[in-house]
Amino acid sequence: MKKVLIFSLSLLLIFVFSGCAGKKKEGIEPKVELPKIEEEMEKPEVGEEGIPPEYTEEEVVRGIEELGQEMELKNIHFDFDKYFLRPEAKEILQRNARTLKANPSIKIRIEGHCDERGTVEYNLALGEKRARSAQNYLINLGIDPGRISIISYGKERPVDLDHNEDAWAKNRRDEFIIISR
Amino acid sequence: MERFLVKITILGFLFLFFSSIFSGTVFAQTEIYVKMPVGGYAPMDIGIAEFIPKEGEFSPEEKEITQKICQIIRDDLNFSLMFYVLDVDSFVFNVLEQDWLNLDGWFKLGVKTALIGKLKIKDDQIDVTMILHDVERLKKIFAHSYKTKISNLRGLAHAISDDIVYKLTGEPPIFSTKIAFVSQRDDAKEIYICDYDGYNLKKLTDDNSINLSPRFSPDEKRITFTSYKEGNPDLWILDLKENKNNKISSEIGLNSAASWSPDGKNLALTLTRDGNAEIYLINQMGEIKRRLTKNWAIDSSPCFSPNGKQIAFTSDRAGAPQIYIMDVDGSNVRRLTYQTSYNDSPAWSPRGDKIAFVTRSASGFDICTIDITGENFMRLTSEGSNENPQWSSDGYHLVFSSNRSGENEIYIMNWDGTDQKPITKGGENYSPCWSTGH
Repeated sequence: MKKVLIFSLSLLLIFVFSGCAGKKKEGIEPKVELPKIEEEMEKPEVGEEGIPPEYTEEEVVRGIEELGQEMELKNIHFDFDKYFLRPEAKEILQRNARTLKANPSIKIRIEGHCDERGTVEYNLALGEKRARSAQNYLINLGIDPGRISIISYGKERPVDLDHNEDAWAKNRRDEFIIISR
Repeated sequence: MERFLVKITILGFLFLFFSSIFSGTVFAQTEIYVKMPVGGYAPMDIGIAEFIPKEGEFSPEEKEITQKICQIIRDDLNFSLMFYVLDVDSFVFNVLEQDWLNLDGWFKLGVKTALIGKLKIKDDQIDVTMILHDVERLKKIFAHSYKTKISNLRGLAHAISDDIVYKLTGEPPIFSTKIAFVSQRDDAKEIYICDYDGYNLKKLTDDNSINLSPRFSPDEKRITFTSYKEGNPDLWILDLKENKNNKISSEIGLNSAASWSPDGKNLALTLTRDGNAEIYLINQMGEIKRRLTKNWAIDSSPCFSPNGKQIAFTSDRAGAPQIYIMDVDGSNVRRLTYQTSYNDSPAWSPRGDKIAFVTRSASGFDICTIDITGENFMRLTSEGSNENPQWSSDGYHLVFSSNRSGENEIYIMNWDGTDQKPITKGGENYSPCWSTGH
């Protein structure tokens, strides 16, 4: 818990610092000098400078925890023209399942995507197969099917527009979009 | 009329005699001059005279319009593969001291068929009378008058070309046909339409969404396409005359890759409503009439045979996408392609004998054709990646998309891969389809 607090405090200090740097600097600047942050990380107590008065300590911690969990609905990737789940994709799905279990109100949509090779029509079907592979895996891990919808975008929404193996590998993916909390 | 027919018959046999020497195939029909088998065609000579004024002299603007119309007709007929337009003009006639309008002059130049037109422009109206002459027999084959607005001069020229092809060969003319395709000009993917030669480009959808796989109905009045505009990839139908969109199939999951039955009553398409990409037959109201495939592989991209009795489709049931053929009730499935490890996008020729498709290559895809017997595999493209072949209604041409120039553009080519040329310029264009010409 302490570690989380210290981490969150330093994060906040960085946020405040960078936020102030963007605005006009008026008097706050000396309070967030870098050496001070390091000093405060040593201290067990929470310093007052970094925390905006409208948030309580608990709210900040919860916010950062939620942020962390949202980031954990990570994309999974596929082999060319395949929709089976690679071992690392299964690990990611297990983590995603834990996040979903920890947040039972969240509903997600799995978006299946393909690289640009292959026809529009075939890739639509392949993207749907990919989304369904992840959906079935999550259901088998005990997630309520009613919380997971799927859609295929085929090759229509690439994340990387390049035409090489790197880009294709990134584009062959499932994305996990939170549609309601 | 009787004499006309007798003449046509005689000429017809003459042409058939010569064409049979080259092709070894004779399709005897009395009311046409030549019947072109796919392959071994022998184009027919035709001379096109510059149109002359119906009265008085042409103004420079009128002269320009006249030359434009004649050039469009020459381009059309040369593209058709059925004609060879002789490169003669009034200059050649003057040098040879022959009369441009005297058939005798054409005869001496060895031209067998000549088109002579008279034109009048009044206000914004063009009025053309054209006469097709049989030069050897000094007879009129065909005469017709056309009236239209100057703004439609390309349409007028294409209509004249259509009549020439139909009257002389009996083939379905394609010069007034349209090509629809997907274009990504902003972020959205919208459906566009243009003439077969790329002119008259128009945007058909404008909903800032992803619109895919346009297909003309057999009567050319409507286009189906898959759209994400309401979230789910649903099948929509666009009425070209009313410019109205209606949703026809919105099963949960994919409603994609639709293909019209030749009678226009039904559509084959891919649905994933039952948990996997399968091919279904629906009517125009979107009601499911039959499920045609039942296989845990991907089954997609159905395409009707021209007689409506069979459907070609893509399936990866053997591990990778290949082309299969089934009866229209889903029975009698057989695999057509074995040549390479990845084949997709079947398009059945309107002549029935060939299927065009794409096969994977080092740079993406190439357009290929194969006989429906599985023989005569032909690779028609070699540069860049080439996708989505679709036939012209005469079966002599293909439209497809290619990225060979660095941009995705729509191309047309002859059935044997010759004369490949782009008809779009800029805008990421793909998934073309060619209207039926009815």
